[in-house]
Amino acid sequence: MTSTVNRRQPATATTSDPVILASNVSKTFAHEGVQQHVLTNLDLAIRTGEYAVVMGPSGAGKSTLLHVLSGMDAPTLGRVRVSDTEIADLSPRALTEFRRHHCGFVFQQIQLLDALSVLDNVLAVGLLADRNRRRVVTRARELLARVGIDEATQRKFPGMLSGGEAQRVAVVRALVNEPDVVFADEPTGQLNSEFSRAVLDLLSQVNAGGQTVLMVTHDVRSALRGDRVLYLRDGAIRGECVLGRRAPSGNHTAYDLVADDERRLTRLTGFLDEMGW
Amino acid sequence: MVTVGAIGLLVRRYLRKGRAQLIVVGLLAAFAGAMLNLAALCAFRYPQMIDEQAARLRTPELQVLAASAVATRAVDVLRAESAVTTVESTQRLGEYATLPLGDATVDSLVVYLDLDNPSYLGQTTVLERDDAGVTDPVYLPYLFKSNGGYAVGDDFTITTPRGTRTFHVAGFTTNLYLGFLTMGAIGIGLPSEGYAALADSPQPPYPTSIVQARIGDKAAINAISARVAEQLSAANDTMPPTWTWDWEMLRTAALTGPGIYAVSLVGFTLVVVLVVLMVVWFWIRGTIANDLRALGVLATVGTPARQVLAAFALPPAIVVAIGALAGVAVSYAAVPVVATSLAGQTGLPWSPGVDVVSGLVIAALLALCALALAGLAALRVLRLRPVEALAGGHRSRSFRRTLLPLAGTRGNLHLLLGIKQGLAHRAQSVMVLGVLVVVSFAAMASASLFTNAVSDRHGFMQLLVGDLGEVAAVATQDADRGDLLERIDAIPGVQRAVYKDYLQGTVGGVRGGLVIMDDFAAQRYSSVFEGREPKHPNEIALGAPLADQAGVGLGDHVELSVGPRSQDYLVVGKIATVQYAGMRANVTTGGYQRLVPDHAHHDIDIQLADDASPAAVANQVSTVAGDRLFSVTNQRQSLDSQFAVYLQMMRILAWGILTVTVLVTGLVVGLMVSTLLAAERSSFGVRKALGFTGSQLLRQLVASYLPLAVAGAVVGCVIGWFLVPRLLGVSLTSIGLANASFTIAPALAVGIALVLIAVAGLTAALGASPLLRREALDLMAG
Repeated sequence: MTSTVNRRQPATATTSDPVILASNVSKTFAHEGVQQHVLTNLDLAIRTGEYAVVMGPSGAGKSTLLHVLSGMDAPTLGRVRVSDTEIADLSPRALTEFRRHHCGFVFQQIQLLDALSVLDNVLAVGLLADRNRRRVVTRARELLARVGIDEATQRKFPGMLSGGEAQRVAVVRALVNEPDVVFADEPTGQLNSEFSRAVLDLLSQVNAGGQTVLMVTHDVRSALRGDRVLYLRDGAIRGECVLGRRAPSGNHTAYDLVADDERRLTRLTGFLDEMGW
Repeated sequence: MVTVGAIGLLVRRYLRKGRAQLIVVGLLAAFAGAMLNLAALCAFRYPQMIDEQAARLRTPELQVLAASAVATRAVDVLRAESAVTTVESTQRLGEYATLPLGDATVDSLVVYLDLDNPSYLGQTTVLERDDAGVTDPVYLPYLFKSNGGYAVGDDFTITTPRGTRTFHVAGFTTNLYLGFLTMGAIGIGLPSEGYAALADSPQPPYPTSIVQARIGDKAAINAISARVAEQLSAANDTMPPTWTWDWEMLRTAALTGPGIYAVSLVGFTLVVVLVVLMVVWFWIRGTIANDLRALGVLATVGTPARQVLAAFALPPAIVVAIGALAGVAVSYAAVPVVATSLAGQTGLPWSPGVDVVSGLVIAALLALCALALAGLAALRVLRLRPVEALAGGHRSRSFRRTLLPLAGTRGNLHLLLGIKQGLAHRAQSVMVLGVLVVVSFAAMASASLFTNAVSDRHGFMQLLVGDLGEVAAVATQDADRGDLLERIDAIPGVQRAVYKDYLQGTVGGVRGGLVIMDDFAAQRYSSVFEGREPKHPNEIALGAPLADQAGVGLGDHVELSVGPRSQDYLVVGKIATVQYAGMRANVTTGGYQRLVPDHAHHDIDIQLADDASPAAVANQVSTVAGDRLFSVTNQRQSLDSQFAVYLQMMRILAWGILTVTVLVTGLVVGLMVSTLLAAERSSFGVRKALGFTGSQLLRQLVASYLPLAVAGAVVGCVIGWFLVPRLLGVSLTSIGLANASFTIAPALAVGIALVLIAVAGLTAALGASPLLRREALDLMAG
């Protein structure tokens, strides 16, 4: 089966060019005269094709980091470059259009549009970037099929879906425009283990197809999918754990995969212990 | 206590989340309260004021103006009537004249009143008096101040066929019979010295008597009035023509203006109340649908459903009551406008005080309507099962069929998404549709009133009075009738001059006006809408209301009486006219001479060519035949002046209704958009995060209501286009205009629809404008 997700060169390793480059980024919120410094002088580079994971305690600024890096929020200080574009220089409209073509989002709260069917949720975003209706419909159906959303479910409305189905649709929606970077904010936070695995598998496939993934998670098992885990606390990156490329399941036996995951888990838990997790 | 606390929280949450609805319902209730209060003042307080004035001025039940030589006939008839308790005959001076009234003029019989020697009945009150240093002082009816803009000290020149008289305004008066614009006679007050000087002038006015009578048995007024009128009508060979009015006739005429205001305001209040009720209905239904889980919790902990019902039903009722009371209070600011408009016709200053009881009744009435509907809308909570409520009920969006699927529907993506959003909020969409249908229908009614009556006033007047020539004249008793007509016919611009007498008689026992002509075919415009005009001496055509009251139809025979004589006539036609309120009959000269054999014509109807000036022709008529004429009237100008008050009233109503229509459209669409924005704010934030720009979201939001606004406006205008002219026609049938036909230009209907659509679109765009400014995260955070 031809997959539009795999249109890029499969990435068995990341390239050295950063797709996201944050320099000296600070973000401060002010509420009733009280200032809260959420991000402080943060520097970060995410390489093209990388699967990066951000972890940290609650209130560390993980979601804010995701918002600032994706252009959904502006930093108070510092610069953010995404796909060779200084997003701080863009007008609100240009920034929105930039997000449309270069960024995909998977929200923690899923956030499907209630008024639209499953297929329309995906098509609304797809047709926004590509006016070739036939091509977009084909791609949307293909992606939905890949995550196990059959045609009957595609006609349903979000209120009629299970949590797992809804999140899989949300991931497909984030991928339909083939963005350079997929931002996923705790995509498995509301899912049971079975549905979590399905969503994480899809993100892994996307990443294997060459797209960069930046995921925020609290879940250690989910973090194991990443090439690198960044630990954020008090608004700054306190450390990083390079796990390396996870063995693609298609090229190894199940035993190899389990052994690989166990090695990665040991390394990650050690790192998290070190960070005071 | 816990339950009450929970209910209180529910109400607070419901009011906090429904602030937009709260404001709209309050504002609309204020509109309704204001209009209803003005209507109540016009319908109840104005008649009360007139009755009080009548009692204070000892206004008689019957008043007759006649040349002193024939007035004794009226006095004799009145003294013979057992129901008459008092008769008073006062000698005054009178003449036909042209009076300046602001920028216009009015032709009328002028009766000069000696203010220092007042009559006992039908008194005149001086409202303002400042004659210090004023030479030739004159006291004008109050309508000259309210309608003509006169002030003390202004010059005032009266023009008669025999010359002019110049006075200076020294004050204003109130007199019910002689201070009324459309009754045909106006009382001008003079001090004794001025009155004596006028009587001794080289060309003095005619001796004229005012005969007044108090009639104890009110039921007898009409019959006595008919007998007096017939006696005087039979003596028509004497000049000048006579006027006979009774109090009921005057009161009815005086209450026409307030009646028009009251009926129109009540009609439009109904439209606004309908909109208020629709907003309340959808507000409560929407709140219940969104708060089903909270309601489920309340039901689970044993909260009585009636308490929940009350929590939903009471707040809208209270808001409506407060809004209505505010509207009632504000409406008093508009009272001077209405009072001035009415005083321009009746000559009665009016400043009703604040009527607290009436205001409370109006507020209570509107609040009761809101309470009843809110209770009805909230009835669902009585039937709600806790399990269903806790599960969030059956979400309306979980319909199974995808309408307009993006995969297979061609068209603009944002338009499609907007329409789909509108479909997902079906209740609000239906409300927008309904409101637009109602307001566009009201706008059509208002525009029809404006175009048929106000902007084409000559067409409207012709519709009302039909066959009147532009200039009229009254021949003196000794004038050579044939020679007079020839002289007038020869004047450039005169198309035709014919004798057309206006008299009175009794048809089938019902008093009415008589129009006498040699040949009714000489009219440019026939008012007959069924059958034909009378051609032979034994034929008669009747106004529709007169025929109805006399109980006769085409082909029937009816008895016509003038004075002591009666004859039998065949009804050959029905007339549509507002003259004599439709209580009019057409009879040929030969037919009338069957009753009054020596009848000679005196009223001349002068029809002009289209390009002729009525004023110039009237001057020419005075020049070439002034010595043979008792009066010359610029009928066009006179009608203009008389109708100006009504037209002004219609103008105020039409613009008022159009303004409120536009405001209601804006308010309701604004409410819907802000409600949708509040409900879907997070969804719009997600869209923006996914790459939809603010302007694309704005287009989607506008598109979710605009197609419905377009449909509502089109449907309302189409219904209005078909129904409004017919409704107007039916309403005028009741005052004798059975053949009235109104039209609304298709371009006007299209224009109204476009204006309302534009207002809806602009309001929707304005309401949705936060989408342009607010960023994705901001929206998602709510």
